[in-house]
Formats: sequence, C-alpha cells, structure tokens
Amino acid sequence: MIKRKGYISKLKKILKKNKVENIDEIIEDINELFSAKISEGKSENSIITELGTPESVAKQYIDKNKQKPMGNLSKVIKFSFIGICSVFTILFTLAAIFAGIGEIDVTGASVYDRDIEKNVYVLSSQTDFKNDYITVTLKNVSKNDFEDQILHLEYLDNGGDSVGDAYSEQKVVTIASNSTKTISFRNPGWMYSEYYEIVVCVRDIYNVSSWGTLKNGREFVEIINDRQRVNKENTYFVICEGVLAFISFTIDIILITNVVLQKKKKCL
Amino acid sequence: MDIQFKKGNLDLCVLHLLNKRDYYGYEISSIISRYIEIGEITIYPILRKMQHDGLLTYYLKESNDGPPRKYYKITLEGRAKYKLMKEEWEEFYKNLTKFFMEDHND
Repeated sequence: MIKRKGYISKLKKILKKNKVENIDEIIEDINELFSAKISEGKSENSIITELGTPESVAKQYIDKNKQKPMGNLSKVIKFSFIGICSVFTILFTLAAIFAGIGEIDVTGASVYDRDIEKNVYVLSSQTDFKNDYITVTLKNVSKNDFEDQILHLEYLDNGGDSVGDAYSEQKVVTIASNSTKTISFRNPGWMYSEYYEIVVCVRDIYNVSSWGTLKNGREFVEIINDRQRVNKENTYFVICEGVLAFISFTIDIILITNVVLQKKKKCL
Repeated sequence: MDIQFKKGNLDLCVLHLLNKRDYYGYEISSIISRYIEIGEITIYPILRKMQHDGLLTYYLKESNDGPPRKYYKITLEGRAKYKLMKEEWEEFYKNLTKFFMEDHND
C-alpha cells in the first residue's frame, strides 16, 4: 500500500510541476490499473516495475501537453495585442498622413504653405493729423493671400519704445496675393508725427506681432518664422508618427506570423 | 511498430472489442497487448477521448476483489463509427495487399 501511495503521489507531483491538465483523471486511470492488477494477484512491486518510473509515466502526458500549441490565456493575450497594434498602426499612419498633407497642425492652428516669402510692402502712407487719419497703402508681393490679419498702428518714442496704450484702432485686413489695399486708421488725436515714430503692426494668429515703420516702400510684415516653426514641428510630428506606425506594424506582423505558424503546426 | 501506424488502428481495436460486449479499461489493454505492443497506460486516454466524443459511455460495477470498476459501453454512435472505420480499414488492407502482389514493372 505504501509503495503504491508513494508512487502515485510522486507521479502527481511531477504532473503538477509540469502543469499537465486533467491530473485527477490520469491518477484515476493509474489507480484503476493498480487495482486491476492487484486483483489479478500481482504484487505492488511488479506492478510498479511493469509501469515504469513515475517520471517515465508522466513523460507520456507531458509531451502531449507541450505539443499543445497555445493555452487559452496566451491565445487571448496574443489576439488582443494583434488587435491593439493594428489599431495603433492605423491611427499613427492616419495621423502622419493628415499632418503631412496639412489637414491638422500640431500647434493647434492651420498650416500654411511651406515656401513663404516676405509678404507685404508699405507702398505709401499719408498722415492727416488735422482730421486724425492715417492712411496706409499696402502691397502683397507674395504668392500667399494675406488673410484676416489684424493690423493696428503703434507709436514709438525716441528710444524706440512703444508709448503706453497708444494703439490705433484695429483693422482686420485681407490682401490677396499680388494686390494692394489702402487702409485708413483713425489716429488718436493727440499723436503727432514729430514726436513719435509710427509703425504699422500686424498681429498674427499666434498673437505674435511684426511691424514695419510707416515709411514709403518699406516692407514690413514678416511672419515667416512662425510659419516655418509650424512647418518644422509638423515635420517632426509626421516623422514620429511614421516611426510609431512602423513599429506597431512590425509588432503586428510578428504576432500574426507567430499565430499562423502555430496554427499550421497544430494541423500537422 | 511505428507509433503513428499503431495509433490510428488502436481506436479501431477498442471499438471492435466494445462492439461485442462491455469491458473495463484493463481488460481491453490486456487483450490488445497480446497482439500489439502498447504501453500499460496507453489505452486509458483513448477510452476517455472516445467517451468524450460520444462513442462510448461508462458505468461503475462492483467487483469482488477491489474497488468498483469503470466499465465502458459502446453507444449507437460508436457502433456507426466502428462500422465506418472497419470498412475503411478493410478497403485499405485490400488495396495494400493488391499493391504488394502486383508486379510494377509492366
């Protein structure tokens, strides 16, 4: 009895260690075999001899287990990852494409054309202090429209500093490419050109000002740098998304190949 | 004897016996091992699988010298499967015999 018990428990231990399934059923079968042979008159020793060591018996069940291609859990994990990676690949690719073609912008504003030239020239200006008006004629020499830009006049003292709240009214201005426009600003009555330098100032969508002195023929708007910044950031963004998309895609392919190969193994 | 060859035919042997009458596991193993060399415990997983697939059922029967024994009984499905497997085997055996008898240099 002790030999049998010891044998069975040793066998159980090995099976458990190797994570074999249905151990109870296996033990049931072994016990049945023992009982049947004992009733034939065989001794426990001879039964054990005929059966073989617990290791060799267990081996017959372990190999079958190892051949099992995928446990349920690893299957679930694998398929989840494939799903996630597929989604990420698509998302990253779409993000890269949209950023690349200019549909979205990472800084939150719309993206302009990449080759921006210096935009606008002050063609001429006239000051009419008597009637408190300053008129400015601007020419857009670039191939981009100067669209919905907010212009105002600023007043600088001798030191070149802006004089307090001395802004003129703001005007929203659009000048199509290669065209001119004349804008009138209402001058705050107390400003006189002898004391102040007047500059035309434009505030762009990023709230950054550029300005040019109100002198004839003087180019003044230069918001290129901001746009270039946007473009540069967009380019980085596209590259990052591209790399991420590629990585997700690669992981995806590896996992799918792994699953397919294991399925093939199972069929063989 | 080659394992693959053996495995396919063991199912047939088991069904053949159970088609005649009910047996318990060790009996089946003993009888078959007189003709085909099989491991002591080989037969048990086969019986379980067939029972799982609905080809067999089992019941417990008291025995004089030991615990109750698990007797296997063939089902209608099992009988049908046996008939099919037997026919397939006979067909195979017939063709194989023919093959060995032929002179293939004609």
